[in-house]
Amino acid sequence: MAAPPAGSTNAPYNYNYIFKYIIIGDMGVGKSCLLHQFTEKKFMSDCPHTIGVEFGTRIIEVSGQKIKLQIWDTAGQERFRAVTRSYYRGAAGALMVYDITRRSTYNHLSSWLTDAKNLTNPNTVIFLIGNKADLDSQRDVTYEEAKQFADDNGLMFLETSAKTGDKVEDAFLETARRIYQLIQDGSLDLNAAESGVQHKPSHVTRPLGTGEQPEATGKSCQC
Amino acid sequence: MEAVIDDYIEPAELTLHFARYQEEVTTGKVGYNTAFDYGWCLIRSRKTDEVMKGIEMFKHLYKNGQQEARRDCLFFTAVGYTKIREFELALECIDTLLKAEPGNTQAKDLKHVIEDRLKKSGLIGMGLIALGGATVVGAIGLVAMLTKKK
Ligand SMILES: Nc1nc2c(ncn2[C@@H]2O[C@H](COP(=O)(O)OP(=O)(O)OP(=O)(O)O)[C@@H](O)[C@H]2O)c(=O)[nH]1
Ligand SMILES: [Mg+2]
Repeated sequence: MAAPPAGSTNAPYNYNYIFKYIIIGDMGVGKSCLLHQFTEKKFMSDCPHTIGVEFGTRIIEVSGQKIKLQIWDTAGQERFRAVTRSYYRGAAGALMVYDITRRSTYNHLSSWLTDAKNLTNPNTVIFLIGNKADLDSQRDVTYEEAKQFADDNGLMFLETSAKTGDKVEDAFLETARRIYQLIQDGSLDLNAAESGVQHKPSHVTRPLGTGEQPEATGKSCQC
Repeated sequence: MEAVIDDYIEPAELTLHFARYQEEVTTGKVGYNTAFDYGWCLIRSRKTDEVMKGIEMFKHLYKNGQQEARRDCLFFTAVGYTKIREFELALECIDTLLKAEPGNTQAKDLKHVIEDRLKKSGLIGMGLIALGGATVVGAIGLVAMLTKKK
């Protein structure tokens, strides 16, 4: 038997699945802060508008499976809208964010939802997030109203605060649980390129240079 | 940040934005957004000559476009230079952006990547700008149309 080629690695992937997420919504609603809070557990109090897209990853666990979330945070300013659409393709999860203190950001949801529905696949899990829940005294959209909108459109829904961290984990994790459930049900086809999910059997070993290598974890958001 | 730099656009997407841009070029009036979108697509291309065209586009938009979008132009130009391994030029752009927005973490992260790649490469640029002079001039010809007032 031939010796393994020099430099081959037997290290398994440190995760079993990759899920691609996108974060969408009007400018200033707190998309980058949510990503940053989720990946770094920190809040950025004055965060400049995102230029184009930002990216972050984190490995989570769902039903004993390690899942690597690859999260694309898109810029909400109008001039980026046309090209950020190209990041929607192949997303398994879409977090659609509005700001509970600014009604205009809520009113624009139908347009964001149209994009999300048209540009992703039918199984993409869309999660509605009402952010800045810490600013309850300035609230401009009630919980009940948004919940109704979510129910009418078959979306999952939570109010979060990227500032205090309240419910931020829940939003990202519940989305992953729902995606995982769709895989278990067989409604999500892992072989379809557009599913936004990749399976990485952890016992398979591959020599260097064939396919993707296990990556170092942790690199993340640039809020 | 590495993921953002190394993320490539689907050729079909680039073709679509090229067609939109080209259509406006033939009418003699290129809209700012059309140029901006096409420029960003070019920056995300795998092909060096297309990235170079994107760089020229954003340099032009920086000088002639919307004031509030200048930061975007600097950032995308820096990403483009990083991709074609013109690290010194990339640093120049990102430092200009950081002068205006010292706390911008997106810009700081990009600067780290540039410095890192510069260190690893051991060379300063690949001389693409010098060698590819003709391509760049071609690209300038294209964007010259944009000078028309919007
Ligand atoms: N009080 C409070 N402020 C928040 C919260 N989340 C974000 N902010 C603030 O809102 C502003 C905008 O946040 P960003 O995360 O940059 O918004 P964005 O959606 O990424 O904006 P674009 O990148 O332009 O699309 C920042 O100044 C944040 O500090 C929150 O939960 N509570
Ligand atoms: Mg942002």
